[in-house]
Amino acid sequence: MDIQLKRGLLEACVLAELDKGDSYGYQIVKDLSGVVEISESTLYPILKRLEASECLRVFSVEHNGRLRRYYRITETGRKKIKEFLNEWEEVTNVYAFISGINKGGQQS
Amino acid sequence: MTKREFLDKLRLEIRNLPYDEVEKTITYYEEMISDRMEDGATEAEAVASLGTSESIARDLQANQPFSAIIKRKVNDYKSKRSPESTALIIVLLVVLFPFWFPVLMSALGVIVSFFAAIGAIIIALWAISVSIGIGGIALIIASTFGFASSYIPTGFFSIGIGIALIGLAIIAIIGSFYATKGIIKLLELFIHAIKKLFVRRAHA
Repeated sequence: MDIQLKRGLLEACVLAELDKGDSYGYQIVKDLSGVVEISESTLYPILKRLEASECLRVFSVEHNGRLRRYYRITETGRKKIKEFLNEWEEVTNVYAFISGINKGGQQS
Repeated sequence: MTKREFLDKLRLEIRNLPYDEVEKTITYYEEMISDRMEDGATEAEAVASLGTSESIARDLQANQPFSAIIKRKVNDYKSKRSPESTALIIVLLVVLFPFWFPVLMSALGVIVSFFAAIGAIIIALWAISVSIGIGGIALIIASTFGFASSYIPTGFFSIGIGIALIGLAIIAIIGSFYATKGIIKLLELFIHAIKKLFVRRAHA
């Protein structure tokens, strides 16, 4: 898959996951691994970017005598999900158009 | 490998990133290993699942902007030099100006001409495609003179060739479009490769 496309998809996946409730790194990887290919190392730069663009906030919670970093979605992050869904409505229209043309091409 | 060993190694690999960046990265991977171990993995398994510290460091470095990579190189260099040797280098730079200046200029010239050549290829592709199309249109217009002066076969001949040329132009324009996209993509890969080169040399 195209790198830029994958990056955008992963960002939206992480935001959607956080929209269900606060979460932490390992939990996010576990929950998303059923949906999309993701590892701890790919998640890290995505969390960094989302934090920099103020789509999420980071806070620490004590857990088993250590600090765990939790991520919480912001209003900007929710807006970003909506933007993503609107954009993909367009993409699915284009997809339908492209696959329609391909079918026409095969018939002739 | 134990968690401690892995984190120490990673810290060493990314030591030239900004300080808070290093701390954040270490905290993140430390948490990941602890969480995996709590989930039932052994320490060695948890560490192994993250990939090698080298590849993590390389990705982090390559994601830095080009300017940051260069700045870090310069800082690395500065911190390794004593003030005396810096003064010596400045004196040498001034004295040897007639030697290195032409070399620098020609290096810049090579870079500029490289991009100019690629730009020229793209412009040439489009110019050829468009001019074929213009030629076709001109021939169709010219055919009316053929009809007017009652050289009917010449008129049909011109129209035929004109339509063929316009068809060719459409194909050529589509080709140019994809060629332009391809060239730009190659350039991006090329610049990324250069960035990686700088990053890798930092570890050599």
